[in-house]
Amino acid sequence: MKKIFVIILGVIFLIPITVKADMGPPAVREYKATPKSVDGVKYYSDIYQLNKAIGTFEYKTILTIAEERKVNGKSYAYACDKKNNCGYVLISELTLSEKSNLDGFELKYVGRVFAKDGVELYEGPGYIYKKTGDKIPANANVVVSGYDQNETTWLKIKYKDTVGFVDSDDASVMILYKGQALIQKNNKVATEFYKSNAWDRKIAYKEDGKYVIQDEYFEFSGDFKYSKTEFKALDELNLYKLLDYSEHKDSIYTIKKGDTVKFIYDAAYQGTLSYYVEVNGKKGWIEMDYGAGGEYFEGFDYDRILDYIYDNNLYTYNEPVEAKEDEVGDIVPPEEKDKDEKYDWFSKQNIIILSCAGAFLIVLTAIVTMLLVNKKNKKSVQD
Amino acid sequence: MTINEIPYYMCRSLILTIIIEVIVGIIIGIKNKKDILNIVLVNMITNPVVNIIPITLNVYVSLKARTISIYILEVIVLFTEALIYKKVLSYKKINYFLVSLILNLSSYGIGEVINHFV
Repeated sequence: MKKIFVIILGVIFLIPITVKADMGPPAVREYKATPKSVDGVKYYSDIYQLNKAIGTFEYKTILTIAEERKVNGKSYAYACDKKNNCGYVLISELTLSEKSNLDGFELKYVGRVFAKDGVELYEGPGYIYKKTGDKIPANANVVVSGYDQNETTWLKIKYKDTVGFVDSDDASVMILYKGQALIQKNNKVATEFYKSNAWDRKIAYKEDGKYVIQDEYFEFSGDFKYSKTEFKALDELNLYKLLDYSEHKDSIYTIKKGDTVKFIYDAAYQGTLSYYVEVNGKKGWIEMDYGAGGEYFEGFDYDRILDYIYDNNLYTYNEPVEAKEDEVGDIVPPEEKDKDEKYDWFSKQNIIILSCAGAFLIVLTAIVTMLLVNKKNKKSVQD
Repeated sequence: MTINEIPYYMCRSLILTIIIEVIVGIIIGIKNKKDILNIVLVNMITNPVVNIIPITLNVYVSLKARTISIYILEVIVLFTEALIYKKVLSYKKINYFLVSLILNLSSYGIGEVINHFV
């Protein structure tokens, strides 16, 4: 009896138990995925209220994903089925079924890693893709693709011989730009500066041998110079140290009627024009609504001033610096890489076959054992 | 349950079913060792089939096919087990069909409760 029990238990545990270990930005290049679990996957209307599911996407349902979000270290996808049932699901509960379109991810610009702990590479532009296992250290100079025209934060990146995709959110990786940038903090001009993508709008510049990262609040209008740079004030106007409107506290000086004001730079921010000026030896920023210049300064006509020669003004909206050809190198397309992948022993089909074989083995063992046990018993009854 | 977890799920289901049905069998008065062994063996014959067919249908057909197949298979199992019990059990207090019904209802019901909480 004991032997039989040992055999039964042995057969049960002979079946290999294989449980696969599980190993932002809002927009992502569209891809398709299906629920990983045969029980389907629950979806939620709100990432912050995961106690109330609004439905379940069945196993094999093809889901379209064009949005990913990272909350508390977990990545979620906003998925929609063909009937347009939509909701947030954990990306770890999905299997990629159709990759994103990778057009426009050519490696061509100079970039730099600013994330303190370096950045991890993925096989594609989204958290649904597997990590390549490569990590690029902080301060590494890299070759990158331009910021995605689909307004996602993913960049293709190359460091030495390593290639992959990285989420450039939180200014983890920035692109080097040509030209000049006016630094708000001290009103100095940076000639080497990096810019992050359109989502977080940050700028990095070198100061005392170290890179400083700050928010980029405004755009420089930057294509013209005033023929006349000095105007007489017609009314009182406050002078601020910084252009950053959120930092405005107290003015550093009040321009008085009759003061002569020298205009140095101009900048635009959310429909308000600002000018970096010098008055009575003090330098700072003044704000004026568009077209209001004539009310404050004698002979000041913004549109007329625009006609003059381009010079001196500062602007950040220039071209990113292109990497030299030998820095870019040959890139192996992901499709070719896939061909080299080893045979997947734990594929869906193999697991099902293995399970069926295991089940068959158990059933067969049980039938044989049952026949033997009951035959023995009959014999002993007959004896 | 992911595809990779199917073998684990099947083993868990089989072990739990055996444990529940043996305990319930003892409760209803089945005390003969051979009878208990037969309950274990009958479950080893029916449980893997009841598990693998719905899962395979779910993977290759749909969730609906899985649900329908579970009900059909449970009914088939009920009668199959009753027939086997009639042939092999020495326990005669309760009708074989009723024994099969009690054991299967208990394992299915308790299994559902466990699945709900785990």
